[in-house]
Amino acid sequence: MWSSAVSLVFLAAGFQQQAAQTESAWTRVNRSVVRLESAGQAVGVAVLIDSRGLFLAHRSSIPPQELVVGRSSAGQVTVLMAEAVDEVTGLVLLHAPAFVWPDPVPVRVGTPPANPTRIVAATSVGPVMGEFLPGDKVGQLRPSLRYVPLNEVRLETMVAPVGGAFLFDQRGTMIGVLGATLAGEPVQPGGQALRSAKAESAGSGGAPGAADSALATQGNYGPQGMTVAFTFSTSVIGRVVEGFRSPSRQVKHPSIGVFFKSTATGGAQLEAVLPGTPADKAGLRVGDVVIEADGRPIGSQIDFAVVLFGKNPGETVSLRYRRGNEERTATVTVGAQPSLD
Amino acid sequence: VSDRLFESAFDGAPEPERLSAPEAAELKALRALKADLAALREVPECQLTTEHLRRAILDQGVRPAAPRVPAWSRWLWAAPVAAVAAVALVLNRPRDVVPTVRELASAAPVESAGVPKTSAPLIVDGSGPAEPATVASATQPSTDGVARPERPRRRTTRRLAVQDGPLLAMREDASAATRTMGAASEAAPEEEPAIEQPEAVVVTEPADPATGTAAAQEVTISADVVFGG
Repeated sequence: MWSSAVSLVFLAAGFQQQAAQTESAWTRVNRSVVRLESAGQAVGVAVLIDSRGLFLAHRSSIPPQELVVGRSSAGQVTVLMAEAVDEVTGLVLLHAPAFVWPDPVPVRVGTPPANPTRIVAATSVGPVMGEFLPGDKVGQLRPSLRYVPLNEVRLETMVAPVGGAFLFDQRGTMIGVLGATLAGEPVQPGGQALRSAKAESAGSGGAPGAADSALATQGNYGPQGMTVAFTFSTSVIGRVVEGFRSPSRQVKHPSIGVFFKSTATGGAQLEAVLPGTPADKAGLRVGDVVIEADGRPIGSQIDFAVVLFGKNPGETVSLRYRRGNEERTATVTVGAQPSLD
Repeated sequence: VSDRLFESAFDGAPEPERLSAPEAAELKALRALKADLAALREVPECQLTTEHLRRAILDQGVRPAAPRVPAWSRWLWAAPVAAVAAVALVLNRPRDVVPTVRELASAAPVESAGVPKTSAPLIVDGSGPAEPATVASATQPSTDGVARPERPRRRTTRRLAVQDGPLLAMREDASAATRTMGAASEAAPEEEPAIEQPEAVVVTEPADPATGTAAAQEVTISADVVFGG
């Protein structure tokens, strides 16, 4: 009997320790989180990223009038004004003109954990527990077609206003901000989707209609009460925070001004070269097939997108490409276009 | 033998014959003990008499037989430990996503053998053509009208073709006929290239009003999908 009692004690201690760690993390970050309110209603959350009164929020949390009230856990009320927007990620810089918090503690952008990690998400309805799955996924933003690395997050909540929720690990460092939740496939008229609003908004690949009738349709995923969401990788968030903290308040995402796809023989074939962009200035033309970038072989369009994403504006990327039967090289200075729209 | 050694040492009984070396040593120790007990005469009577102490020591020399315990009772602890281990295993099991699958009544029919095809419906909304017995064999019943597969399965992805990209929509006429062709090509697996297609997550605006987030879809990326950079 003693062994069962010991097992129970260890079991209870494990859960208690886990809950205590999460509660401790939330206590640490709670000082840096404000709940955004508009007309008395909670519309989202923002986190302090600079002690000068700069807050980070998601576009979905900002009402149209771009003026919102931030209320801290200690009851401090701050008027926040939208100062800059990053169109790629939808993150918004909020500025508190009369910021008088005593001993403000900005959040710190951490590195993504290497193993599945318990996290706490700061949402407009309070903290929500979840799990962070490691490993970058290939993400494509629409309509910009830009590549971004994403991480999957599973939240222990049903469909809830989690848009713009900030994710913190148990050390209290910020490791993500929720920008998307998993949606279902388009449904045929007459079919009932579990989350119809999402299924409709996700139908960019083909509007719901008779053409989709042959598709196997999946509505919702996961057990009831769990939300599968995606966050931008910390490398993206760190780039946004760095840009918002800069005097220009501009976020600089790397870009050379090209659109590209894969070819059957390998490589990334340029589908469009925007005029006046670094690629255009370097002499790249539509139809060129990039086969190597910075010494790394390019097998697909994703390989090329990953290389470009890893660059910082102002750096150069060495390309080897085919034009017809001729192989050429070019050195392109990466630009800082905020958007490719 | 031990009792006779005690009697010989303490009660003056004759010494047993043919003592082994350990028995002789024990007898010698007992006699030394008796001598030590004799030295306890200085202890006050109000505290402990030597007779009481001697009798207590002699009583300890004859131990009562231990009660016989059944062999199976030694494993009684295993049952609660196993129960606790089972509870711990259930509570700490990995939270794998179990997809909730819903398909259309007008989708592909069910095979006569009762095993649904890959694209066969797992649940039928309304009065679909699938037989209830077949549905019950493939899924678990649910009170909310949604059926789940018996085993957790990985989320399936849909193939993302170039027709999904707005860049092509700018270049081509995004008519219904075009979209129909695109969807038809997606539904025909034999037209997919043989090479392994990478998976990706496509994030599409605008935001869902229910969650405030954009909609994400897991897809496989074909070679003709355009990226920007």
